Parts: sequence; structure tokens; C-alpha cells
Amino acid sequence: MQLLASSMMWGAAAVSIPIALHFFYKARYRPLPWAPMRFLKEAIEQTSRRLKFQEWVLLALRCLALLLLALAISRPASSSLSGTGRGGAIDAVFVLDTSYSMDARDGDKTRLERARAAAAAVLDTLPKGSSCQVITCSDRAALLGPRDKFNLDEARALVARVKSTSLSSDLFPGLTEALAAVKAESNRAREVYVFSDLQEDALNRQQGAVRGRCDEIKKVANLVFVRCGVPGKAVPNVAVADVSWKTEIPHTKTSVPFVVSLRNTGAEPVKGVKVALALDGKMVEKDEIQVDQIDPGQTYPVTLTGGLDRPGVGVVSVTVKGDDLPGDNVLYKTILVRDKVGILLVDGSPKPENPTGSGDHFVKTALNPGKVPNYYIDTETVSAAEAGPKDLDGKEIVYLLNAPVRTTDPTAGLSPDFLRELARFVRGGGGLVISCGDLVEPEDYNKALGSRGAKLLPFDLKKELHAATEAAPFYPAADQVDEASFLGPFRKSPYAEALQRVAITRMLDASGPGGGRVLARTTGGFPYVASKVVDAGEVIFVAGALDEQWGNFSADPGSFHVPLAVFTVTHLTGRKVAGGTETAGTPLVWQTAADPGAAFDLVGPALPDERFRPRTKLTAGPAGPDGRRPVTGTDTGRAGVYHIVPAGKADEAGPIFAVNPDPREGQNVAPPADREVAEWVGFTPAIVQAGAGTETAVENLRTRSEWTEWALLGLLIFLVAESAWAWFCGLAR
Amino acid sequence: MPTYLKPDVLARAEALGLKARQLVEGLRVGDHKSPYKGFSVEFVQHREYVPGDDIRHIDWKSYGRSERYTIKQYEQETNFACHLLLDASNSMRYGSGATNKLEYAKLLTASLAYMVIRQRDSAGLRVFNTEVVAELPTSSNLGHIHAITHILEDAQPREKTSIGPVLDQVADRTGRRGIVVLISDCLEDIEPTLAGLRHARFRGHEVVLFHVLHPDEVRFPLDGNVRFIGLEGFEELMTRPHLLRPAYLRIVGKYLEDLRRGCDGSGVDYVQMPTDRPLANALAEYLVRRLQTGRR
Repeated sequence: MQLLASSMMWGAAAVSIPIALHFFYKARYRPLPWAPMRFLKEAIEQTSRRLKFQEWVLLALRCLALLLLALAISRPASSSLSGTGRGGAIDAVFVLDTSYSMDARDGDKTRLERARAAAAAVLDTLPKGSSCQVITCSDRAALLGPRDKFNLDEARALVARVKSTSLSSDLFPGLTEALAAVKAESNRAREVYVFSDLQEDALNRQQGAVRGRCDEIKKVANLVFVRCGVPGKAVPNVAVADVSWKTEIPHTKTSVPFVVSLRNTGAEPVKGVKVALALDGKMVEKDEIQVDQIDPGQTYPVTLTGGLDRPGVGVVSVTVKGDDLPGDNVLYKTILVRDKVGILLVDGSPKPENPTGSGDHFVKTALNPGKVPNYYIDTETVSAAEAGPKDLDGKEIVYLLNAPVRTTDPTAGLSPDFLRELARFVRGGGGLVISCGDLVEPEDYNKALGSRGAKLLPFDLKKELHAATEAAPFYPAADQVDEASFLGPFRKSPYAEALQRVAITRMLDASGPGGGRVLARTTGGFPYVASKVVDAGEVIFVAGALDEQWGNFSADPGSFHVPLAVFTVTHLTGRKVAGGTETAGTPLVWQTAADPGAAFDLVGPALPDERFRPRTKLTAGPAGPDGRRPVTGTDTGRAGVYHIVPAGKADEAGPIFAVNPDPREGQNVAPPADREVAEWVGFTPAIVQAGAGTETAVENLRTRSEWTEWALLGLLIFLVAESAWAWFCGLAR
Repeated sequence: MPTYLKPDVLARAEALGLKARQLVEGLRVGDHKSPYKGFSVEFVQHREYVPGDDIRHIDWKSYGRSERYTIKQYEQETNFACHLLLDASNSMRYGSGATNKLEYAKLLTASLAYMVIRQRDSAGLRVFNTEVVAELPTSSNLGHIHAITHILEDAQPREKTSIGPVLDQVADRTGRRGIVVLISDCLEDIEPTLAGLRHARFRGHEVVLFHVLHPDEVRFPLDGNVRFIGLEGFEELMTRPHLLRPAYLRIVGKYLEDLRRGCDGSGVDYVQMPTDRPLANALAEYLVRRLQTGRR
């Protein structure tokens, strides 16, 4: 309960009046000399207890009547309902849900349109002298204004301009912001309106925190939920769940099939959904593809084929039409299209006289099993002794194939210069694959590349070898493969079966310190493939040989070595792409070599009716261990293509980011019933349906919630009771 | 005529006469039945008949002459002593004007004395509170009336009431049997009062108690906020009397009933004398009742 005119409660001091009157009249007793005092005394003794009780009851009734009078003129109102129906000024705070479920069209209008209309209607009901603050809320909140909170026209204009985002619903931040705003208000009547479709995620994602905020708001203001969805009205919705391409490393001069996954998250079938896919804004197929029907809960794959012509990072965008929730009808994904992938093979046992017997032969075969001429994977081989820093130019991946580290012989093994440059290459984002063999000395590797050197090895190597016989070799165990890693496919058929045809007779023991991650183990449980992320790059370590020294090798594309090579190269080259695909609301980070304090712009997607893309100023952060400085953009509430560019540069003069709608928002957009809302928030809230009659509903709510009439009725009852009691007891004179 | 001898009262009381219920041992011959035989009756005068007169005293010869009822009056035939005891304690102070209890009691006392002496009996007076404060021995001399009225005029309410010891004193000091008339509000414990009355009866006196009460004390019609100040030493009590009225009336009613029963049980004539009632009427009613019950 709250008091709309709390100062009137000073009137409660009037309870002192009957007490004062008691003493006043006591002083005004008429003296009377009296003879039969003993009769009088006896009568008093017989009646005093009853009289005292009657007088106390009467005093209590009179005091309560005065308290009720004070309460009535203080205008008591319910804390959960608005209580400002007597024309007094109101400090209002509007929280408008801008999650993309508010774009759902469950009638002739979208929910956001209803929210805007309802907010304008509530603004019309605010008495003269009232104030209003407008807050937008999705999974984060922002106070829009107005600059002068008493300027209701500006508030009305702000409300009219509110647009949806690609974010999901969570009312907690909005309620928190509203609480702060309402607490800063004066001591007048205060109201907080939440215009939302009240979907479950909005109230339940942080249920305890939302309940707490609601309770806090109720203590200082009246909290009213304005439901903008239509209860019982289903919203047909098909979301673009994913898009993938059927090629390991997208490269130019190829035609790639794109698989679009559409998912019906609604409660009824959706018919006639049209799907379109564009690459860098250009449709990959001339016409949209229409899907006859997608049933509720069904994930429907649609394949579209497009040619990749331009090398570099592009954006694949998928759009669908035909449902009533447009917010999740789009999905963006960055794609790195390569012209060539430069790979340096550093061979520790080159055999010019017998190229097919050298170590690089097997990897070359695995990378290009079809021996396609002018293949996009461009390999260059160099012996370990001859490898120099310049060999790394233009390369994205380096393979160390049974390459020894130079020790005493200055003409053999990897030179320190190369190793030093190799470490810089990896830290800068390059990929390194290390395979073993007879020439790999564990101690030398540990000193040069391990924990005592460049710290590139996932684990330090031990001297002991794991040895097996040809009759009973090790082989990678499918169930020991890290499912979350890029080798995850090896857990499943047909790769899982192929693993059993791998025969490993010898391998190094990579179980020392190093901080790496084991991706696959052999049947004996020994680490076989491990990885370590080193700054921007990554090292893949194979404990065996990638030739036929310590096991067998197969150039069969369906066997182990070819997919291992493809997965590895795909994984390592993918790491080098600046930018990427993110979900709306996620910070976009670009690691740059910029100077301290360098200015950047986050260039967002253009708004529907605007020509220029909006920019947000960014500044490079402090340098990391690798010397690069992160530039972070957080204003990513709308799905689309973003760029982070140096300030003043062209919109696309920087890494590209694809930002997608938060998929959680489209999972359940059905408006809940009042009972469900009450369960989620832990009390029975005041809920007004947005639409025609919002204004009247709000005013009725205010009128109903004020208890003045009830207090006056109580006062009347108390006065009647007081009179009846006084008459009954003879105390009325 | 002295202040306390009101003509209307005296006229009616005199007409009715005050008769001793019992045989009174008189010093002189009166109209009381005397144990001493042989005394004759001496005619004095005629007077006009008034209702209440004994028709036996109508002079029929005179009626035959004048067709008017006249009563023959005789010289007193015998004499009795009437001991009048007037309570002049503070409790008798209550009331104003004619309804003041003490004033009413004084008037009653004077009237009774006058009647007794006028019918040739003797009357004495004792004014008392905790003790006898003024005393006048019995006498049948008409001039004695003036002495009585002077004492009455001087009597002022003081101290508390103490009826029992005073009655004991009177009973012990009056050798000849007569009538003891107690005029008091009797606002003390019943038992000592009744003991004193019984003592007087034991001494052979006819005892009459004129219980003088103010109507406020009986009906308790008070209202508003009242601070009661005890006339005989009680502390002050502040209350709203109308709230106490039922309990008060119940207590007073019981007290009066107990006193009446105590008097009846002791052979004492109990006469309640509310001061708002005209004394003539109250006295006449009592005397008529005496005649009807055969007491002369």
C-alpha cells in the first residue's frame, strides 16, 4: 500500500483530540456535596470495570475513526495497482520491450505498434504536471529520455520512434533501469508501465532477479504490465536456423552447395515459405525457393547452389518470407573464399632421389589426393636444414614433418632463425602442424618448441616411445576423439570405421607439461593428436608420423589421412579470418596493431529507410601479450553486416562481422495467460491489454486501486459503531 | 408564630391529633386511655369538622341547630412524653430551599412538638450528630414551643451521624415511657441504628422513625460530569452519575428495604419523608395511617 497524499497522515495526530477532551472534561466536573457517598462508592465499585471497558472501547473506536479519517484523506492506494485517479501529477516510467518478438504480427498490427499506441494512450491519461521517462529494453536497457522529463510531447515523439532490435527478451535490465529512474523521482504518485508481449523468456530467464526488481518497484511505485500480444493468437514462425556449405575450404572458381536449415518454432504449420540466399548481397540463385509446408518443430533443409568468384571474406545471407515474425527471418554468415592456400612443408627427411619416399609426399597426397593441377592448396617443400624465415612469406600453414631441431651440426635441422620466425608466424595467426618420426628428438623439441622454448608444443615430449607391433598396432580410438574439436567427425561413420584401419607402430609420448588439449587418443589411451592455441595462431601436434615410418598411410579420401589433412587445413585457415559470425548483442572484437588511442568506427547495418550506415566511435584498448590492441564494438543490437574500420575510412575498410538475431527470442513467442505471468513474477500483477480501450483501462485501474472510498466507508462504519456503542452504554451524553 | 410552625401543617396535624399507640402513663388526664380510672372530661370549645376527624366527636346537637358539622374539643385527658430526636449531622445539609433535609426535618420537628403540646402532652427535644448537641426536657407548657423552635433555629449541621449511641442515651435517661420520634436521614450503617431503636422499644417507648431523604438521594436523577464531595468525610468521587444510576438505585432500594424491615421487625413505625413532598400531606398521611391501624 502507498499513500498518494502521505502528508495528510499528520492528521492521525488528531487521535490526541479525544484524549485531550477526556482530560478537558475531567477538569470541568461539576462539584456536588453529597451525603450517601457509601451508596455511590458501592455503585462505582460494582460498575467501574464495566464502565472502564466501555469507555476504552469507545475511546478506541473514536481513535480508530480519526485514524481512518486521516488515512482516507491521505488517499491510500494499492501498491500493485495504479493509484492516481484523482487528478494529481504522476511521475511515469515507460519500459518498452524492443526484442524482435515485438515485431510479431498477431493481428492487424505488430506488437510494437500496439506498444507504441498504448504508450501514447497512457501519456494522454497523465494529468497536467506529470513527467515521463522512456526506457527501451531487450536483454539490455537504455534510457532514451526525454531530456526534460516533463516534456510529454518529446516523450511521445520518442515513443513513436522506438524500433525493435534483433535481441532477445529479458525484462530484468529494463526493470532495473526503471527502478533507478523511479527512485530518482519526487514524492508524487509514481507509475511504471512495462509494454511487452510478456513472453516466458522475458520474465523467466532471470526469474528470481525479475521478482526482486518487481517487489522493489512495487514498494515505491505502481507497476502495470501492458500486454501487447494477443493471448491465444498463434504466431506462425519459421526461423533460419543455420546455413552451411558443402565444401571444406571455400575457394574461387567453384560452385558450392549451401544448405539452409529452416525451423518452424511456432505451433502451427507454415506453408509457402520462400527462401533466398545471397552472397555479398548478390543472389546465388535467380529465384527464391518455395517450401510447401514446414510442420511445427520441424527442421527443414533447403539446398541452394552458388558460385564463388571473389576471393576474400564475404557474407552469406539467407532470408525467408511467409511467416508473421520477421525478426528471425534472416541469417548472416561470413565466408572466407580463398584463391590459394599457401602451405609450407618442412621435411626432415627429404629424398630428392626418391620424392615419393620423402615425408612431404604423403602430406601432399593427403592435401590433393586427386592430384588436381593448379589446385587451390599450394604446397611448397623445403628441407629442415634449409628452411629460413623467408620461406614463411605468403604461407598460412607450416607442416614440420619429422623435422629435427638444429643442435651441434650447423648444416642439419631447423635453424634458430627459422624457429624464431616460426613462433612469430604462429602467434600472428598462422597454423603449425608438427608430426614426428625418427629425427624428432624429444629433448631438443622441448628446448626449442616446448615449455623451455617457444612454448608452441601442446605438451612436452618424453624420451620414451610408445611402441607396438605391426601385428597389433595402435590406432586412433573413435570414442577418444574430442567431439567439440575439428576432429569431431571422426567419432562418426564413416570416419570412425576408417580409424580402425590406421596402424600406428610407434609414437612419442606427449604427456608432459604444456597446457595443450588432447584431441584424439589411440587405443592405448596415449595422446595422438593435440592442439594448443598460441595467441592468434594454433599448433596441431601429431604424436605419430604422417608417413609410413611409424605406421601405415592411406591416400584414400575415405580413410584417415586425407580427412585429417583437410580438417586440419580447414580449421587452421579458418582461424585467420578477422571478423566472423556473431549473435546480436555480442561484442565484436578486432585485434589490431594500431597505435594506442587510435580511433575506429563500428559501421552497422543501414536502417530500412536510411541511406547511410550508422557509425559508432570506438577506441583501441590496451595491448595484449602479442602487442595487438583489441577494438571492441558493443552496439550490435540489430542483425546485419558490421565492419570495424579506422575512423574516417570507407564503410568496408575493415574486418567484416555477420550479426544474427538472437535465436532464443523466436523459440516461444506465444503471449502467456495472466495466470502464467502471475506464477512467473510471484504475485498477481496489474495487466492491461494494449489496444482499443487502453486509456480507459488505465484510468479504471487508477480509480479502482485507490482505497479512499473504502477508508471513508470504514470511517462511516466506525462512526455508526461508535454511536451505537455510546448509546448502548449510556456514554452518548 | 415561629418560623417552623406553618399554619397549614399545624391545622391539619392538629385536627388529626397525635395519639399514642400504647397506653401512656400520663401525669395529667388526657384523651388517651389512662390506666388511672375516674377522671372526667372537660369540654373546651367547638371547631369546624375537617375530613379525618373522628365522627364520634361530632356534636350532633350543634348540627341540629346550625346544620354545620362541628367537633367538640375537650381538655386533655391524660399526658404523654414525646421525645423528639433531630439529626443535625452534615449529611442533613443536602438540598436547597424547602427541600433541604435539615430544614425539612426542623419543620417536621417543630410541627410535631406543636401538636403534642397543643394536645396537652409534653414534648422534649434533642439535637444530635455524633452526640447530643442541644437538649430540651419534656414539657407541656405552650411556651415550651418557643424554646423548641429557638433551638431548632440554632441547630446547624455538623459532624457525622451517630444514631445508635444517642438512642441508647435517650432510652436510658427517660424514665417514663412515651414516644421517641427519630428524625434523621439514617445514612449510616443500618445495624447500629436498629440497635438503638430496639433499645428504645425495649424501654417501653413507642418509637417512630421519620426517615428524611432528599429525592436526589432516592431517585438519583443526576446527569453530566459530577465531582461528588462527601458531606461526612468521604473522599471525592468523579463520575458520570447517569451511568451509575441502575446500580445506585439497586443499592439504595435494598438499603431502604432493609431499614424498613428492620423497623417493622422491631416494632418501630417507619415513615419515609421525601423532602420534595409537602410536609402537611406527608404528616397527615402518617397520622391517618395511625388512626386506621387503631393507634391513638
